[in-house]
Amino acid sequence: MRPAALHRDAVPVLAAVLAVVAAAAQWVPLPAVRVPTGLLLVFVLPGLALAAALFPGRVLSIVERLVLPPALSLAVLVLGGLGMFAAGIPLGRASWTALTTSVTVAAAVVARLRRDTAGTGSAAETAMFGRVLAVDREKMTVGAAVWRLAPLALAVLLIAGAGVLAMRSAGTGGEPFTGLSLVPSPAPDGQQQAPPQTPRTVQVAIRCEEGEATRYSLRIADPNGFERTFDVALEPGGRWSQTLEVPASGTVTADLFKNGGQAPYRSAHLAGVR
Amino acid sequence: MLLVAFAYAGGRTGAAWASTAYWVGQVVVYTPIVFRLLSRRLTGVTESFLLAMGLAVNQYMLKWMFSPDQFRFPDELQHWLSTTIVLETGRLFQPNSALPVAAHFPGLEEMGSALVSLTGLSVTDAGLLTAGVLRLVFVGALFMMVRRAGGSPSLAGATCAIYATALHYLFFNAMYIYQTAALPFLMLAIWATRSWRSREPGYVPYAVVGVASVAVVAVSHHITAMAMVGTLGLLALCDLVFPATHKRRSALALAVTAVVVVVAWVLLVANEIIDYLGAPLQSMLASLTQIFAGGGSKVSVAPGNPLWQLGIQAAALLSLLVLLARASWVALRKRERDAWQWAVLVGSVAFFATSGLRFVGAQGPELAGRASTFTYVPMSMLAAATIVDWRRGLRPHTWPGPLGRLTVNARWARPAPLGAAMATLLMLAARAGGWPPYWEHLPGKYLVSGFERSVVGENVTAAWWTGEALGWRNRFAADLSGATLVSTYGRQDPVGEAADLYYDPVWGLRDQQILQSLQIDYLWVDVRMSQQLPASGVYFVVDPKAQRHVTPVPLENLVKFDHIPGVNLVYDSGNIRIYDVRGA
Repeated sequence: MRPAALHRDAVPVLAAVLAVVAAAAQWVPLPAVRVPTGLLLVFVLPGLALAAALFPGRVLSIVERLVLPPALSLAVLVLGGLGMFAAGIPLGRASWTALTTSVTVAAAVVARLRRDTAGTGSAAETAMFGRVLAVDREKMTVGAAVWRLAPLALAVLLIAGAGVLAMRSAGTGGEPFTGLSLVPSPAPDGQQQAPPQTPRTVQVAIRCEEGEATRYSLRIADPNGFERTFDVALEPGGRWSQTLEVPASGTVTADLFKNGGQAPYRSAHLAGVR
Repeated sequence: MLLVAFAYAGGRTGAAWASTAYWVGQVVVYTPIVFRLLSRRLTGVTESFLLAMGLAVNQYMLKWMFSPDQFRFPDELQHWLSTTIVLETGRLFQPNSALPVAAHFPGLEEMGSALVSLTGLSVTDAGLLTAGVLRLVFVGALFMMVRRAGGSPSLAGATCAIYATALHYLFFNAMYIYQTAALPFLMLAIWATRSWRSREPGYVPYAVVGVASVAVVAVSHHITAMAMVGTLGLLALCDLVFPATHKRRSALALAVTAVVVVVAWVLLVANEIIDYLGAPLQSMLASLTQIFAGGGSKVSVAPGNPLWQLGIQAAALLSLLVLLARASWVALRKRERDAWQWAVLVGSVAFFATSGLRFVGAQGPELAGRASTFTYVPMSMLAAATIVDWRRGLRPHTWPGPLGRLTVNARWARPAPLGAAMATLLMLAARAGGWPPYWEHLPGKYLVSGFERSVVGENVTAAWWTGEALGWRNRFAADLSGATLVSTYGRQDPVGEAADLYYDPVWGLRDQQILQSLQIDYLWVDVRMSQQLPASGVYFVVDPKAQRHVTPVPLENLVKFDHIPGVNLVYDSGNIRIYDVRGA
């Protein structure tokens, strides 16, 4: 057996072994393990084995051998997912793992069985716009590879730099804000709504996204003399909430003052029983 | 790429130099790649493929860097929700009030949810990765399709590079949306058609890939499915009209398969699509009727592209027309019998026909952009082929001496410089006239009805709050971007037809009737509507004043809800106010 043929034969076997390992790794609670193995199961292994099973000979060009695995892997997810749904199998980690692994192993077996019957057809085709296709196979030397990998390494560095810059700048330029909310508290499960004259329960909440630590004063009042005040200090991203009882009738107003200001910075109001 | 990353960073802080850096960043990557692809020094398939894929990576990065931390385009948010629902329920076809029709085309959600399940990544990260891989597969499939169609490495690479100048290539077709999932498989189906030669042994694998691709397209995206039927039908027709030496029936077989699968899917699973696509079609037909009746198309008063960008777009279309004319002339003169060549010519004519849609009705520009995703494939093949063969076709040395030296025999008239210049013109035109629109080439401050530019922290926080504090599936009236956010992050049922509630200066009986007829529970009010005109020309999903706004909505119209008996102001973050109108 020639080395190239040996190499081609090894691909489906390797895919099957990797699929089993990746399937086992799905239950390792480490992102550093789950992410790469999950990526292999989703984008590479099923398609790699399927391409080897469908095209065991030298029919495909290098480009086709690179493009088909992710394409076929994604097709397995779409069509296999529909099949699992039709069979009543819930779509989740276990079912996706089983689907991708079983397809990979089954395709690898088929590829092994078909390896001896493989043809060696070429991809020569008819002309279009005067150009004739021939399957190109370049001879790559070590020197040529280095010359081509050096710019690639530079490109990867540039991409990484641009990515870091993009991630850092994505968080800039946002307008600071504070959110104030005032809503009726939901009645506990199984409990009826309170009778009309009993105090009602409301939930008031503040969310600070001001970009700096902020002091708030919150006044909750109604026209009939009810009043409660709260002093709150929040860091950026901080939240504060309180559940309290207010009179059943009349409109309750929540006014939020920021950093000792005299005019309400935010307001909310809830009508009572009419 | 770094230049564009700096441009985006500058855009976020309002730097004046950002726009210049953006345009320079586009050119310094794109032009040299096209030059090299058309150069006689191109070494072969490996280099051509790497250049094409490198450009695809670069272009996807430009999209990713615009919003690396979250999805911002409405359709992406809608598919974010669809994927989240699949993950929560473990089931397909679950209702999604943000984009009801998407529930019937679950291909993308299957890919995304599988990636989340198997890696533990967030839906956003998994979506960005999935869209990136799909983009690379699409470009790779286009490359190998051109190669199988007989194209040289240079032609295949140049086709990919010129296709990168499609109006929706840079952003829209790289988003986490269902069309992105279907596009690579459309290319793969065409590749399989071309590769599948039924008179030779070993055709079955191509048939398997072809049928699988047809199935994936049919269950992933409706428009792509129809484009696939049309494309395979055109190829089959051309094969029948111009039979090759050895009969090829693959296109016919796959076209018939596509018709059966797509019709079956629409009738049995996704019949909602008939109404969904029927409405814009009827609107477009009405606009066409109006134009032919002499009434002209509705004129938008919304600000358009800067004049220089319109000039570039016109020049680009003209250059494509020249290439089409030349290819047609050559085909007729040679009495061309190659079926695929005629299919490419017909497809290119279809590109110009669909480009005319942009002048038809309010939805014309969007429909033209959507159609160009498909019709630009043959157009880019034809453009690349004509450029590659440009000089030979012109028959140099037959022109009179000085004229020849200045034109066809000149160095600039070689395919590499001429083609690179032309492709650069096409690229600039696509960036100017495609997606994102000119007013959001760069990320930046909040814009009312500005799609990606409308998704800022304050709005997102308010949308999440609605789901957490009010529960899901309340009927929520909102403006264009508010409707997207409350329906996705907030899981509410959006109401986009309540514009009059916001436009009426005084609360009255008609508003009460609107509340009741549309069963509205809550109102989302963005008071910035009183400060800015809508960037996209509409404030609401259904806007009776679409494209005709000349002043912002008066502030009094938006704060009138504060004083209506029975209406509660339950959330206030300054710009966003949410009213409970169930008691009104």
